[in-house]
Amino acid sequence: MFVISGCSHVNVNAPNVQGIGYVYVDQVAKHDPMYSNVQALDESIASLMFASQATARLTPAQISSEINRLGIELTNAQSQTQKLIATKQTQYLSEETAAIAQTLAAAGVPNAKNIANAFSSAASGKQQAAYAQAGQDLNAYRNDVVAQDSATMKVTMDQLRKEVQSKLQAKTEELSAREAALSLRQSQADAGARLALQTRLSNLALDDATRKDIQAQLKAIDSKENAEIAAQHRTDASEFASYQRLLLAAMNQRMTKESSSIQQSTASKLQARQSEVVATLKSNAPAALPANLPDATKQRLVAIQSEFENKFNSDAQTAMDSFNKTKSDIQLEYTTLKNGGDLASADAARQLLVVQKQRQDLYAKIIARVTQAAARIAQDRGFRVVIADPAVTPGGYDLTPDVTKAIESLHE
Amino acid sequence: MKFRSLRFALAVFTATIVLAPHAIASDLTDVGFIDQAAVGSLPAFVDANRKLAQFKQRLDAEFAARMKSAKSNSDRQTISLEFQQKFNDRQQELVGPIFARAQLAIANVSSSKKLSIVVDKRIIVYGGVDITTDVIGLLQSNQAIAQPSATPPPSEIGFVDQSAIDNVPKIQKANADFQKFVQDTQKQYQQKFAAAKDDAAKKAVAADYDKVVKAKQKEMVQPVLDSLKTANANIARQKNLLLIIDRGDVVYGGKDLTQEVQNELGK
Repeated sequence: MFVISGCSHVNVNAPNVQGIGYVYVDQVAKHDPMYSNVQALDESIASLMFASQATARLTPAQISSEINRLGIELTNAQSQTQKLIATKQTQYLSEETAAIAQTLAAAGVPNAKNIANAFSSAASGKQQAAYAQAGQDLNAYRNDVVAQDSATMKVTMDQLRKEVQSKLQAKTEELSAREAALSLRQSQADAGARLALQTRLSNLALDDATRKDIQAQLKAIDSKENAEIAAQHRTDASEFASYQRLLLAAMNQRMTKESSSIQQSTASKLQARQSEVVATLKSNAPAALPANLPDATKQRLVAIQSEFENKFNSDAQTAMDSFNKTKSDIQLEYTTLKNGGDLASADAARQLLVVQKQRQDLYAKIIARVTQAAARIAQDRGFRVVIADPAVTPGGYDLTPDVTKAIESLHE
Repeated sequence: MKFRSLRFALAVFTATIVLAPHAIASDLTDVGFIDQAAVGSLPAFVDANRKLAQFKQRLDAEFAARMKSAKSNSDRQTISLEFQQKFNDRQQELVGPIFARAQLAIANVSSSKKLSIVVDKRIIVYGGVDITTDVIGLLQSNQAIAQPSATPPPSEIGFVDQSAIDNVPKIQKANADFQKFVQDTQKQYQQKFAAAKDDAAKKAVAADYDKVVKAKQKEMVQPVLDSLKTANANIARQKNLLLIIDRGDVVYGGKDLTQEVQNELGK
């Protein structure tokens, strides 16, 4: 409840009052207990306004250059990995051949070195041919899957774009209707004045000076209306831009989500196919060894092959892991470059609308309370009318201090 | 109504009234108010506005097509004016008659209630005479609305057209200079904001920006506003007016001081 205390006595019938009071509502609102919350929201609004207007750190040209750099980095990483794997393959093949030759020689096989070379070459050649074929099959499969998923992605993206276009079109229509409404209000507001001036103009007996004056007044009405429409247009353009940013950000987010889901599906399909290919390669029979070897030697040769195969696979896996890590980092950087800045500012714009609405609602509550307090005081004192926020007050009674006291009493 | 009891009170204190000529009971007129939004939502207005919006939609499409063929700014301006005129004509045709009837209804009700001024409901904190229901009733009746026999009695409340005042060169210049300052400052602070490392630093930048802009507004715009207030107040006193409000809030009656204030500011 308001405490209407300490009110000075006012003669509402005094010549300079005549029962008319006024109150500066915004001034009183600053004394409301909830006003600190409005200030906090104002700070957030100022901060969000800057954040929503912030542009990406890089210019489009810089982003493009950075993306090119990332492309080169990825190609280099791929090439280095291939070289490393090839080097390891050569190294382990040489070591494997030497170990086989040594084992064969120890078993008393003549021409052990030549047999080992032939065995290793055959094994290597067969393996390489199998790898090459598997690689080709895998690539063909990858291309098919990627093409299918790209088509799915395109349809999804087109759908999202259409949705955004349709919403933007609706917004454009809404803003056009608003401008039309303003134009209508203006015409309504000025119709009386315009008609009166036009009526005066139709009086043939008018002297030139008066006619010019009336024409100037008509022109002033037109200019004023045009200026107001232009101002409304600017406001609408700004609102449209914010709305567009929000929609585009939402579209980007959905695109990223859809794209991520499709990419995940593509990766799973490729992974499954790759596992199939690896299993097939592993099941390939090794190159034939001389038939008359003792069992122990045969077992030793299988062990040597397995040992070097494991060593090579382990090193190749390490190289591939390193490459995948680099690739993943590059992809992340690429995504950040493409979307990061825009998403951040759009997110701020979205938050800005929410906070502005909160501020508007809270302030409306405060104003309602101020108005209620002012009405009580006015009734108590016998005013006939109290007006909010007049432009100038040569007379009337200022109720602002008394309403402020009543509002301040809410703190107690 | 408060006015009635006030009249009784004034009758008792006749001696005081004699010493206060402005407060003679018969001189006091009431302030009326109307909920313009309620009037605007009447079916006749809604229907006319809907038709106007449909017309504008078609006009916009034509306008966009014509603008594509425009080769110069001069062409664009000519096309804009042509379409603006088309819109105004249609607006006049659709809304003009309803609006004229609404104005007549307001004038009629105001006259019958001896109101000197009718303002929009939004600015009334207490009291006044609500004429919304009477005006709507009259508008919705099929009867012809006659012109009121008398002009509004003189009011204690005057008004100025703020948008016209804004066109006075020194006010225009002060506003333009301030807007330029705001734009420039905003650019500087956007850079500071981007460079701020955390949320606290960002909030500090935003708060500082607000402080700088408000201080500059006080320095650049306040003196002009003060001179405007002085000019308004001087004229209002000469006319024995108690309050001046913005024209946008006035629906009927009141004393228009715009021209006099413009002249005073232009000196």
